[in-house]
Amino acid sequence: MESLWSVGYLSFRPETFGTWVAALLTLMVYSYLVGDNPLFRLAEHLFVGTAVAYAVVVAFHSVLNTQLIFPLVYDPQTNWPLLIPAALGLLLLTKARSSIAWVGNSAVALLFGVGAALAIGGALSGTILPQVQATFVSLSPPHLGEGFWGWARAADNLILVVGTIATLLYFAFNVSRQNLLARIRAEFLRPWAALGRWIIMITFGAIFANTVMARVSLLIGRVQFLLGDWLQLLR
Amino acid sequence: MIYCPNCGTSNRDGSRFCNECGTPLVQPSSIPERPPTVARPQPSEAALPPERPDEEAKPGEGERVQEVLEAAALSAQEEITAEPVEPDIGEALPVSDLAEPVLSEVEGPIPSVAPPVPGVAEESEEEGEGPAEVSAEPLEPALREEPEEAAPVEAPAEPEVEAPPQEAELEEGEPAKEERPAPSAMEILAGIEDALPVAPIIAKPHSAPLAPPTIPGADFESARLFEEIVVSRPAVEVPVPEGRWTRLWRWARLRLVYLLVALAVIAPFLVGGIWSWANLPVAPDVKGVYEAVEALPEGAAVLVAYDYDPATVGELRPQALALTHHLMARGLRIMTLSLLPEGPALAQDIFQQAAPAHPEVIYGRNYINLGYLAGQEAALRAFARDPLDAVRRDYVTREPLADFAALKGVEGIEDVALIIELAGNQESPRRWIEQVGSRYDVGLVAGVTAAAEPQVRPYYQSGQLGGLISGLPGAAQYELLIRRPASGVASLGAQSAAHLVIILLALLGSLVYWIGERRRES
Repeated sequence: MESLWSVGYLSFRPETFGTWVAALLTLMVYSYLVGDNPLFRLAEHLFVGTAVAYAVVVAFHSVLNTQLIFPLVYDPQTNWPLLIPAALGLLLLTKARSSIAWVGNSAVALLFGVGAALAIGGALSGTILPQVQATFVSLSPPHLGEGFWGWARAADNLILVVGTIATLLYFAFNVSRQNLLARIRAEFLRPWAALGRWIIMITFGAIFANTVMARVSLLIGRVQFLLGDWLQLLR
Repeated sequence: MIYCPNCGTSNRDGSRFCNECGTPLVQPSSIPERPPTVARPQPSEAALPPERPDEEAKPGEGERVQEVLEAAALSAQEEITAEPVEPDIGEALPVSDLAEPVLSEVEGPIPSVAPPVPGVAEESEEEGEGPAEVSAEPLEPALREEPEEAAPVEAPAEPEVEAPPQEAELEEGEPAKEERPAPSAMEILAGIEDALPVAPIIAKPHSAPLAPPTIPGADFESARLFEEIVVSRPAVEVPVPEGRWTRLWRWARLRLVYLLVALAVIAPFLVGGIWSWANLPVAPDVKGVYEAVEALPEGAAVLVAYDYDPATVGELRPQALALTHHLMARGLRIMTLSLLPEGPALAQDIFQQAAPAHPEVIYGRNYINLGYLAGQEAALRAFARDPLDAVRRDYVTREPLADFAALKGVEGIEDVALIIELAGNQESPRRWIEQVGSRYDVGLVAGVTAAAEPQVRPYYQSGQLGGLISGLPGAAQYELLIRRPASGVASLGAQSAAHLVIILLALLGSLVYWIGERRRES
């Protein structure tokens, strides 16, 4: 305990004060493990309010001030086109009142239109095509390495290809059985769909396990803070 | 649409029960598909469809419905073949209503051609009802022959068209008394009514008259069951009285799990020496990030994107700190940017932690905080095209970016040698890859949380990411690579102990569950 007092907790330096506030808020949040209580609720409301306030301040300084006000004040003749996005941004405020909300439709349409166009174009060129291309892999062990490693990589690639196909075929719902061809197709799809379901479940299991690991990491981070930065018990 | 006779809710065609109240929806032949806007006398109760089986079982009522519906179908058929009929006024459903379902089977629109029936519209108006619908038109020729006995059928409301000659005999009745001009007075028939008498065009059904609807009792039973399920309240469980120790154990067992995990995390920090970090293997994906940084020439510009918030600091702060140490030690110029408002402050915190260990680095010359970039995909594209125009001023001093030596020569994203994306979710790396990585010739590596790693790893496997650091173990591996063990390595013992406890608890829970099931079965 002597070491706890020797670092100057009662000096109320800004860093020390911030550390104490953070530590107490951390303990208040973790008090929820015992049961719902006013301390947890207080910390929760403080967090939400602080986060929103901070985001507003940052948005004002980094966006409005930097991107709009400064350029218009210091060089209006060059930067006057910035008034157009500013006007569109103001139109968005009309969405708060239902009677005049239609005025902001054009701004919303522009926002969503541009966003959707960029997202779809980017997904096509940045995700779908490269990921499909990444499944075009060799299954021949001699081409992948010598001896055991060649066979291991070939098995890895085989799992990749079969898993991709099975997962895609799992989503072939509403299989018709009205004629012979449709029944053959349905019988063909059935084992692939079963395999795809298993692969999806394994994937979800991996995601869940990683999520558990991530949450444990966050707990470790808080424990390090409490034991190290606050209590100074760690070297 | 089929409208529910109980609540008036519109249901899709073919619905057997109302989506709102569960009332059985009888076939359209007995219930009008549109809300009743037609002028009609009040139908008798026998003409209405029964809503419950017990109502249907009233003596003589079912037979009465059957008789009325059969008469309706027969009447409608006779009307369509232009034979006169005398509807049973006041005792049963008006003939106009009953003929409507028959006409609903006719394909295509049914134009109204007959002049309005005298007295019919007047009666309708006297009753305060709305205008008539198209369903009454087949009745009108017959009604016009005996207008005094006509039932209160609807007056035509549809535009009039020329009648075919084969129906001319239908127009031999008494002329209509109506304010509207007769068809002969209209422009197309003016002056030729003697040569070409006007008659209605009537579409005839393809099939025989509809059979009277029969509603199987099973439908009512199903509807009753459905209503019971929907309306009934959930069963209230009667609490079984528990002993004091049982209640205490119920409360404590979950807290015991929390306590065990907490002890597993805390104890390694206090005890130490559980994990020998020298034995930690370094994954190839982490090594990919390290080698990408090592391959850069001194003084090259590196962009570090802080796309995480305080919620994931526990995992990403060790990564960011290790990477910043490495970048500063290599003499690279560091730019930081964030797509989240919280990111710039986290980046500044990392700079403040790392910079003292590298006295040669100076803010503005060796590293700079570009702050928050709003706009997601669109902002990324703008930044990639012209970084200085998209950001304009730095986060710390608010000075124009052109004044900083750290940004010298950076006119586009291709002037950046490497982009390091630190992300708390899988969306941010995907944005950078889609909007920047796939469009510009620039290296891209990422550090993500363990939760986001499964969704980001495919980009590493496809070569779109040159390297990938995942979670706290990835941070520890990177600390080992740069020979600067820090919080990542220090946390490995706690990480391993916590995982061990979780696995043991999962096995123990499964074992207890299995034993309990065996006991119940026996």
